[in-house]
Amino acid sequence: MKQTIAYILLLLGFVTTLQGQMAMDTIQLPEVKLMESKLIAHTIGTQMDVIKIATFGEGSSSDLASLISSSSSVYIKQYGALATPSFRGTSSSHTLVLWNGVPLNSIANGLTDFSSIHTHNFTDVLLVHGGNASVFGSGAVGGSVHLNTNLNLIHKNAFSLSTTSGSYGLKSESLAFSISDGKLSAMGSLQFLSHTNNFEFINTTQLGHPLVTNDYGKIKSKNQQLDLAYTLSPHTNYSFSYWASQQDREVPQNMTTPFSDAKQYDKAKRALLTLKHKVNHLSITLKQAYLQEDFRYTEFLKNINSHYLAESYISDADVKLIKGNYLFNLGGAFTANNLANNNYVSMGKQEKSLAAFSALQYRSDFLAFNTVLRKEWQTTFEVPVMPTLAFEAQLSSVIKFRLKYNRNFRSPTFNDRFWAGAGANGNPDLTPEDAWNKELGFDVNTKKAHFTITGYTLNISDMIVWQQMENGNWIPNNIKQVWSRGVEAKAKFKIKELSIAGNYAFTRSTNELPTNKLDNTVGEQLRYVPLHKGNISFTLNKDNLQFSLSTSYNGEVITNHSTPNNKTLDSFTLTDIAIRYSFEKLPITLKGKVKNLLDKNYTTYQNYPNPGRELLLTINYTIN
Amino acid sequence: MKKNLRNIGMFALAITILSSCKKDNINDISIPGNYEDGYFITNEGNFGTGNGSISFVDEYGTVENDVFASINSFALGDVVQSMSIINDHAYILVNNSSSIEVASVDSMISVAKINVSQPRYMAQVSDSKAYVTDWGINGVQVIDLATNTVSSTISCGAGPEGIAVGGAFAYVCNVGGWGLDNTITVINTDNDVVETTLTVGDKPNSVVIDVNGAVWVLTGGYTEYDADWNVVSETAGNLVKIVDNTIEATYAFAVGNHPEDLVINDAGTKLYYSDGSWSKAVYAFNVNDTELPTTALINRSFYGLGFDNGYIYGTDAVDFTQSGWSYKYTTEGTIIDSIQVGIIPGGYCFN
Repeated sequence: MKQTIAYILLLLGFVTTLQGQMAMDTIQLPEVKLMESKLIAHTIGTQMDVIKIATFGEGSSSDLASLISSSSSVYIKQYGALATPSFRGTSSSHTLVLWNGVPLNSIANGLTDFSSIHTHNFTDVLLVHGGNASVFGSGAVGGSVHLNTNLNLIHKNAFSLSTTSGSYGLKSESLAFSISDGKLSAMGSLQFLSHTNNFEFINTTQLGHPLVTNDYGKIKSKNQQLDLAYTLSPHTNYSFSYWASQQDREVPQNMTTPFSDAKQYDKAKRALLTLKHKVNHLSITLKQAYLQEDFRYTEFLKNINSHYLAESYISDADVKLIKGNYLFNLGGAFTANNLANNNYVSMGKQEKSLAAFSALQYRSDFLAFNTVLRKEWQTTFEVPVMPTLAFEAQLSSVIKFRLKYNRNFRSPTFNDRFWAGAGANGNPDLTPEDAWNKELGFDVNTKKAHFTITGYTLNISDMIVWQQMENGNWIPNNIKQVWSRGVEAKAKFKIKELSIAGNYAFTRSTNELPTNKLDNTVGEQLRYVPLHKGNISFTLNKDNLQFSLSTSYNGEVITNHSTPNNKTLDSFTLTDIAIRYSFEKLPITLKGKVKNLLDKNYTTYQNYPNPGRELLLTINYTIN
Repeated sequence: MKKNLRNIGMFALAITILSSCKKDNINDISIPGNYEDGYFITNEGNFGTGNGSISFVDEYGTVENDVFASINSFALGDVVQSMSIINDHAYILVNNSSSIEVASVDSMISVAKINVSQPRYMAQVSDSKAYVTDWGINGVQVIDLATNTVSSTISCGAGPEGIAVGGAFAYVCNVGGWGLDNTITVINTDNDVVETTLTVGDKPNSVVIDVNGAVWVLTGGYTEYDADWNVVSETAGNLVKIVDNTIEATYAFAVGNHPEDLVINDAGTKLYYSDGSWSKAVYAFNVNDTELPTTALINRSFYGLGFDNGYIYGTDAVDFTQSGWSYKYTTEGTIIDSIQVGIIPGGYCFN
């Protein structure tokens, strides 16, 4: 309670300063600041990767997991049918994924599966390193991933058809269009993908290490997206986004099991209506979102038939007021979550929550600071006030210094609280995980080169861990304490037609509290967190030809702590090459890609094989 | 380090092959790869990752982990459930890999692999035949020990778990598997036909046979909750005595407790088991006792329990991801040794 009062006082303190200074400021911030997204408005002090999605209509076979792995220092863990990110040594539910500002993480389990998200129809993907929970709420602890469709980027009418064929029975067809007449902009796509996934691998767990074919890993998916934006007047803008996806897949088991009948069916529908209105120095953004997630997992050999239907209604209001160098931002969100799960004691669960958000910013050419306070009210557990303090200073024309200190949280999921059955029980008394993040960094920006370095320390306490109890039942508790610290660096520069980009992360993430009196892992690196992760890519652009080569390194990870030596998975380096050629006189672009060029054997999760060399060819036909 | 282990494995392999030629002479020398004097611990490993293993503890108490994988250069598989030694062969039941690995018990060199569904426990019923309880078929797989193949199957209740053989019968605990059951299937081992089915209480998990030929079954009891985690219905666990295929006595535990891991001493006169609701303790019960003990012998929760040669053994799986521990106690409940073993140590196999 004392802390809350302190932060309210802190904010009030800034407001008084604001009044004192307001008269002196004459610099007007560009109007565009009023219309920028909540993310962009709160990037002060933040390390962020901006990934522009190739070119319109292309890249139809690229999933979010491989995109992030090859273009950032974020570690991607891939096992079975699932791929999840790990920012700054945190676990998979510590990354919040937002679609045009709307949180997508499953309310059932807190996860977002990156292997099932295709990057086809997003205009940009932004990776925010570090917690962001005081702006975006639960789950943004290690980092957040923002998938955006920005219709402002559409300047022409186009229609495009793409077809991709690849190794191991990969086939993908897509159709996309974009139109814009100044007032109305629209963009849409339809994509089908099927993948047999029948790659060969050496089964090191069987007698004689035979070469076998992965005969259980078929994927079929369908994606539909539609985005509309209508500019009613220079003051008012409406937009509507719809995204439906469906994915059916066979879930492969580890290579020691001879067969599996596990299948997973994911269906999702997401709709978002946005109204933006601005008058003078004031802007209002209203959002209404509806998210539906239909998940089914079956494994009849083990009598498993798990199904849930999750629905979220999110109403979000955001008000920005600019006065001179100051931006005052107020917001509120009301969320109603419904979840019907055949594994809960009573099938249907409903919960409502309310969040209030306030921020005060100062931005000039030399200095910027941001203070944020967020409070959320949940019916069954208490969420503390989440503050952020951020600061930036332009030390010289090229060097910027960043500083950020904030608190983050992750709420217990529906599964954490209400699960019952299959030897596991949820715990209704769980409280949110609490995480304090401190970071500082320098950005160097010249015309030809960009360099960024960030150091951080992140303490997560009351982490929720599912543990097997002495009666054999699995139960989650707020028991774990983790300390992550590390350094992230990235560099980008251009030499004539050649661009070079590199990312590197050093991550030390350790267990700080024994979860059990025999727990020997205090001070030890967490499982599945590599100390080193890095990548480098070279892209050569010459006339109509683009050639790129990228290499990524994933350090050794611990799978199980044991004495005298921990069980580990070896580090590995993967290299991909890609060529893209656009015909001058034909509306055709050809794209070829070789993934895992050197045909390396590698594992990111114990005893789960990965494909060797893969070839992909895409033919794209676009008329403008 | 991995390479070193492999080298040791190869060395051990060479030694073992040599030793099997002139076995009589070097029988007493304890070398890695010679697994005659000592006992085994089965480490389940993490479900879904295929890292189950076997630890061997020699007569001096020295532990050697990963004995199967280091000798055979391939993994045992996913969830090593239990191990039995029959006719000088180790039968290792790997639940989620749907297999039984058969290895020579003194060298651990793999000799066969039997494909089953979800094997749990194994018991020998004759010189040429053994039964394996299997959740995947809700029955027993009959193993031909001469060929190491499945010769037939016998239907039981849901989720056949613990098994014991006494007289002309095998007693199979139907623990429920992925559901609920409350019966014991009694099988005539001569003709592999179900003789009778006895209702003993919810979730029978383990069974032993005492010096007088009486069959003792432990049932875990069952608890059902409502939406607010209130108990809707609850049944007690039982210790059930069966004589001549008829229930002679039933001793009920406190409602809410879930007893498990029934083992018996070498003389067949004393039973040991774990009991408790959240935290468990080990209790001893004399086969002539007429009521359940109220004082614990060892005040500690074990993940698996064993008895051999006058000692009680218990495992601790710690956090289920790091190496677990095995403890050795006297029959008075005094701890005398502890060793670090593999991931999720769940059971013992004594030669």
